[in-house]
Amino acid sequence: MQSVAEDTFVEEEANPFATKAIGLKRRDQIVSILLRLGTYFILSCAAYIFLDIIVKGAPVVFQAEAPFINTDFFTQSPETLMTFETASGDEYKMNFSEYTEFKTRNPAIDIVDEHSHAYSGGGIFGPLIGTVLLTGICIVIALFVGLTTAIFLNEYSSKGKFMDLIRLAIMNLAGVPSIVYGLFGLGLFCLVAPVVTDVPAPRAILTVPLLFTDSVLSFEGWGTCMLAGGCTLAVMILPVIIAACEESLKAIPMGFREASMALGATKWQSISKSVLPYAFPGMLTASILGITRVAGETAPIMFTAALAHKDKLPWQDIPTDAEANALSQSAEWVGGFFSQSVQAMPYHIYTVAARIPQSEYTKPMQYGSVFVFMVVVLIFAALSIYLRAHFRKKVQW
Amino acid sequence: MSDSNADTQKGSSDFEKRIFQRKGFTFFGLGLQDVIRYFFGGNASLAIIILILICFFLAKEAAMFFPDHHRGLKAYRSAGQEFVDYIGQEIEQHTRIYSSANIAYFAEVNRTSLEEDAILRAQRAVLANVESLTARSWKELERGLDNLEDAQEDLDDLKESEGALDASALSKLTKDIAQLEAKIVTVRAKLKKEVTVVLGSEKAWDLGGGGIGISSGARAKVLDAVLFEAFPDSKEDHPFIVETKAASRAKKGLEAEKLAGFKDTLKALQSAVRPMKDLHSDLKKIALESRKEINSLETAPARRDAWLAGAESTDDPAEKARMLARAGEVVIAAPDLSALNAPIYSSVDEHRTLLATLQAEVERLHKDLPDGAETESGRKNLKKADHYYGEFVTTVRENRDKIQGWRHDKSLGLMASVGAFLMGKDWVTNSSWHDFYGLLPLFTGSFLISIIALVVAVPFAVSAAVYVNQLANRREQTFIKPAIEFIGAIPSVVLGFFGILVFGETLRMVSQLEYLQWIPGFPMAERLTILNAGLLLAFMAVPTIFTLTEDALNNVPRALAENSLAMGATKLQTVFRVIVPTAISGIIAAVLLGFGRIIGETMVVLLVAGNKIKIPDFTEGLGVIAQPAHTMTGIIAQELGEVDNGSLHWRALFMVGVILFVISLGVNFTAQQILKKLQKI
Amino acid sequence: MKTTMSKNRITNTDIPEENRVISSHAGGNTAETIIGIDDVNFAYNKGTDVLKDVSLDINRGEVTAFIGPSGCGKSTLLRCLNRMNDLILTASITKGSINILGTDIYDPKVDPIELRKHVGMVFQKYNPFPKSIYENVAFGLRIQGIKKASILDEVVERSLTYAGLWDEVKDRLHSSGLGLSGGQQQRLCIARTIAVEPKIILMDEPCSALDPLSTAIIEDLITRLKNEFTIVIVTHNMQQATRVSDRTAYFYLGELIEVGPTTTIFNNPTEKRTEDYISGRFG
Repeated sequence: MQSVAEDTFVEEEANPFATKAIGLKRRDQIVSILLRLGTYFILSCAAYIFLDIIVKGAPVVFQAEAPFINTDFFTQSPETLMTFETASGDEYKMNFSEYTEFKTRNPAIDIVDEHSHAYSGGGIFGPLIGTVLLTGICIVIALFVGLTTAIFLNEYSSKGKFMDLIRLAIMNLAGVPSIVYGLFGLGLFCLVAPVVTDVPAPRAILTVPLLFTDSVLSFEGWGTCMLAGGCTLAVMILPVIIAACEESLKAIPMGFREASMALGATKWQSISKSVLPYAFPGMLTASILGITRVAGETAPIMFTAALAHKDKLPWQDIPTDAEANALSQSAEWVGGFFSQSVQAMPYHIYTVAARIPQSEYTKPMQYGSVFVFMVVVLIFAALSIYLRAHFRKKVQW
Repeated sequence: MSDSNADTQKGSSDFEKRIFQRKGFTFFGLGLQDVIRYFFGGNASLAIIILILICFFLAKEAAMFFPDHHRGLKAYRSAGQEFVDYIGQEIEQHTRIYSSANIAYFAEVNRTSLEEDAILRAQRAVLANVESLTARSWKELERGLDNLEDAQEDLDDLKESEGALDASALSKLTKDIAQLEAKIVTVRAKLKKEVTVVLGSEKAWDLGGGGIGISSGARAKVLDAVLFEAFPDSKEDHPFIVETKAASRAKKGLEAEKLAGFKDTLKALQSAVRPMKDLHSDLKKIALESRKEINSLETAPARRDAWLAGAESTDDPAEKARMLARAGEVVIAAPDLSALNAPIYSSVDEHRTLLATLQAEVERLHKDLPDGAETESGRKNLKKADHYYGEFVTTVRENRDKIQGWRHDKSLGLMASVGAFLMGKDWVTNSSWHDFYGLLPLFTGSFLISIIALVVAVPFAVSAAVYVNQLANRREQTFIKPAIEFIGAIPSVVLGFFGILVFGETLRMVSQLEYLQWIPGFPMAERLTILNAGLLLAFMAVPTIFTLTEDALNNVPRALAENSLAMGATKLQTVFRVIVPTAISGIIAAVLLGFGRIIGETMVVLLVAGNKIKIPDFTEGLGVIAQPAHTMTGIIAQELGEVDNGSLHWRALFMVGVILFVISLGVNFTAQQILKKLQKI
Repeated sequence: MKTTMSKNRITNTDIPEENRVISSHAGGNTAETIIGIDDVNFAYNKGTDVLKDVSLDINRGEVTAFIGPSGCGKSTLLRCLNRMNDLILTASITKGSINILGTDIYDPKVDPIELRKHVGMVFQKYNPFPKSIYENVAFGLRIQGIKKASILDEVVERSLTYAGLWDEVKDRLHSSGLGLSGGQQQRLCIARTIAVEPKIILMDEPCSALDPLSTAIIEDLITRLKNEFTIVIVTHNMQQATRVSDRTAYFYLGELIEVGPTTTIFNNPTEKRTEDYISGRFG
């Protein structure tokens, strides 16, 4: 009993649960502040990059008077920018096409101190169109193959060595560097892929005569063109699309399929009626995610599709045989359309950033392009991030 | 399985029998459902087909690379180029000793006149700045002066011309001249005003980091001198500048006198190698001729075939005869390699004696080099010279046997080609001498950049993941996670663009800050360096590592954290002793995948790594990060567009692609295995 | 047990031997209160109390069992005792106070970290850390900054011996704790808890994930543990309550219906609802 009293005495004197290890507490606080600083440091780096590009790029794209947007920048293609002075001391800055016109108009003018700045004039219409086309081709192919693969993996496949192999292949494809895809695309699509032609090129590695026609199937490649670029990008993005589609299929409860099958639906009916519609949002997210990745890639299209300079827009002046019938003419047109190279935003940025001499006159083109490109890509990125968060939160079966 | 009309007609008993049988049409014995299934399965196998195709296309080029490469190496040996390069190596090692010692010497000589030199440099820099900032007025002035000169010449011509003076023309010209003169005066005044304004602004004083070491008094004087010189009237230097120049010269002279011994040693060192260099250049010419013969033998059949084909296709008999004659002229006999290499064999003894003298000389002179120096740069470079001396001795020793035993017809295995590719220290293309395809400079570049990126990215990404997952409040979580994912969406070319236009310069400026000099490699002389690329790639790798680490932390069962907390652990003790160790394999996988992403990244390194194909100089220690480098991805992107399909160079680039492919597969596979193991727990 | 459990750490600092003998065998009125729960209301979200006006004294050196149907608040009350409910942001005590060792544990001056060092907890699902057996047991000491190997070795051996696990694992102390069987893992968790020598051990259905054999071993362990610690156990298993506890508290819908010596509650309950529950009419 004596000891009880003693115990009580001690307990009354001091709170036994008071903070004892003050040093420990302080260390805790310091470490968590450090972690927080690390986190915000990353974010501030990002903010710095964004701000730099916005501050220097926005003035190129927007303007003070109506229509507030520099329409020329969006409707013209990149051109050489000419800067020169006349003997009277006037300074001029104009695109090359205007410059030749100007010179024919004023033949007497005495031009001194003339400089040309490659790709610094005009706008970014051509590259934008090219990027849209490449991304479009890529997404159509990648979604088709990716979606069917995902459906097979998630709905039809049974466990086994073959499935493990497919999964392993897909996972490892995801890690292959994009430049290696570029090499692959060049090797396969540009140099070996089959085309139907009357006159096979000497470099064709194999020609197969097509029955009942004059044409042959010649394995000579498509050359550097948007179809090759789109396919290369599609192959590159495939693992991402498959993974995302499979994830959205997995999120559909087993019960949906079982219930549908129990009502006598065939496998395909239950997939198409009670799985795919609910997996649609996830697939939409996947494709937007795919667009974001693909639109920003440079390395795979460098040798397969992209071109630094092109006068004509993709749909202009495609040669067709005027004597042929309408059907074969349009087929020829389509073939011609897809087998030309295009300008692309990322490649254009690479060109203006690293392959031309730098001067103050190249800055607006550089920052303007980067700004527009960033805005476009990041809108898609934001959309995919938002959609993913949204559907994850909303949809709970 | 048969058609359903029959079913209904056969009455109910039959119908009942068949009620559970499969219905619908069949296709080659397969039901519709099977067809659908195989359709999907076929598409799924596409992934494997693509992987196989990638392997095939890369392997095809690679498989053709080594025989070609091997043939090249054989020619290199047969022509005696290999022998010549052995000598070249010795000379190069010697040159390194000499140039390091030389830098040390000049650092010593200049050490007392540093301030004067800084002033002169500053004056030149400011003058250049002022001129570029007032360029327009300058041009105007120059034009004015030109016009004036022309007018005066016209006037002189007019005066000298025979016959009657054209009075009206004369008066017009004089008037013009007067006008021009007046204009020049105004332009000058304008220019003077502009220059004064410009000098007041900080822009003029941007010395590109060279402004260290001028006192404010000197600065005022520089300003004065610049003002004095900034106008075209002044033909001579400002007295202050003249004075400074003289002072600098005098001080240097004084130091040079003190270091006369050093200078003599350097001179002796330089002349010691001369006979060797002469021998080298003689042999080089011979070897190059031999190589040409060997190369022409290789192309001979193709050339003859071309002539023959031409003869075949032409109808003109005369032309045909000419072409056939040309075809007959093509020599397809192998050159007598022993005869070609005879001069080389005979030079072995000469080389030996030369080398012996050179080595003795270098050894003696190396001892004569001063041990210590007054300046930091002097000490550093003398130490370097010492280091290079060691390398010189090793090279000579290693080359001795190689040179003695060198035979132009020694057999060369295919493995030698593989070794020369994987371990080769040079990547030289389009060379008139010999194309070297050595992976090492590219691999070291890629590897160094990746290591820097990882060293920087991992702490930030992991701490951000820990913070967001464990410590942040909900509002921070909903904001930080998408923000970091957003970073992952920035296209790499944009980051590269940022690196080349903004970050490189910023980094260089930062590297010149006094209190950051402890960082190895600082101050940096260049914008585009390994460090620049490494930091940008670190930024790129952060989202990958962050997201995967965050996932791994998220997968740690809550119960573990509760247990730890229930034992009286603090929040952070729980995080670092329980949660992070539990998630560690996930974090390692995240880091590996981040590494895979970094090493395969192309655009950033292509734009900002500096693209210098050379193994970085590791004698600088960690300072190596301030040097430019080239990378495996960068070289493919840069060179593939410019080479012929199927050439050796093209295949070499594909071979680099194979190496990248193998590395990334290895990294990815390891990461997947680690993750798999994690899932089992 | 006392021979292996070295006296100087647990017995010296806390309970004198004579006192412990009294309290553990007297089983009721004469015992000293160690936890005083006074008129407590608790809510996970404001406005919906899951505990209502709970008042209860828990005596030193006894095993007190909380019984009652699912969702009656017994686990919640248990988690109030070492403030594990603090981890849920919106949860809080809305009325009343809990005193442990004479201190109001919801006083701002109380550091929950320190509190939890004195009030240990064993969870329903055994969950050793993915570390070695040794590190699992030493964890509590390590986080208190004890690094000396001799102390750690001693405590690990003592705790494992006390938990009856020493002979089974002494040859593989440095292999993963996850390699043990379920019952062994739960005993490892108990060893981990007693290594820091808490005064009170809270057990949240410690046997519900175990097979009958392992349950018997754990129950045996609990009866041995009460010589050294005060134990509060939440259980669904009525037999278990009668087997291991000295006193039993019956909860229903957040209210404490009845509390008393276990024998009284089970043989002679005063409340009708208690009788219904223990005789299996509902629950």
